[in-house]
Amino acid sequence: MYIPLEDGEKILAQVHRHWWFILMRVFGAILLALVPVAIVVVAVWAGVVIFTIIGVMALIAIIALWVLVVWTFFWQFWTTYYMDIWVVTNHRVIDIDYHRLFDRDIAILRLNQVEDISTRMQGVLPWLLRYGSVSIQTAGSNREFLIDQIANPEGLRDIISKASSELRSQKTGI
Amino acid sequence: MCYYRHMTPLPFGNFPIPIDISPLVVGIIFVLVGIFVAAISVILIYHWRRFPFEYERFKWVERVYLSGTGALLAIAAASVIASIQGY
Repeated sequence: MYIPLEDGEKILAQVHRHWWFILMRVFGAILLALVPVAIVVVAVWAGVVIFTIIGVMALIAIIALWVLVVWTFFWQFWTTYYMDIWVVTNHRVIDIDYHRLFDRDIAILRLNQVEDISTRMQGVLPWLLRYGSVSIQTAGSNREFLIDQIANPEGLRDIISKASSELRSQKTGI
Repeated sequence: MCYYRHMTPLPFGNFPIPIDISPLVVGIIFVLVGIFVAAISVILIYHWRRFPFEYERFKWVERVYLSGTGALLAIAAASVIASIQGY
């Protein structure tokens, strides 16, 4: 594991980007897989091309290979989507940002540095599908920690806020 | 130019155009795509197995991915063999 948990550290939430973003990829992949099939069907139906029996078998093989390439690319997109994850523990917020395969950023924010948490849902689609962003202002730095395009940002804000308060009360003994 | 019996002479060309894909060409495409897919599969499975969270879900994903890939490769291989045998 490339992020070992600390003693007494428990995972409270694991958050991915909203499912809408992978659904768009699914539609894109289905469309891309069906395009050559549709072109061939229309061309044969319109009488523009004709296939021999051997040609039909070869065509099935080529279409299957095309769908296989699209399938492989889809899983590559899914991997970068799904591995883009925010993990909230009772000590930290860990942001694993997969730009593409073999290109990964990991940022860690300690909950005792949290000053202010805000959420934002901007636009009609985010309001309908209930996705948005959570931004965390940290103490001693101007840097903003942004958790973007996630489902139920208010729920995550409450989890982080509660964990941060509990950590502070443990440290101060109140 | 050779004309097929079913071809209709038209002012802008002769249709339908007979498409006769060589089994050798399809075989070469099959091998190249097979190498590409094998390489990508190794990379994807490497990433999935190294991911520290939700390991059970990734085991399930791996099964789905390999089943789909295997099914599509089997369809392609059967079609390549059929085209080589002259069906």
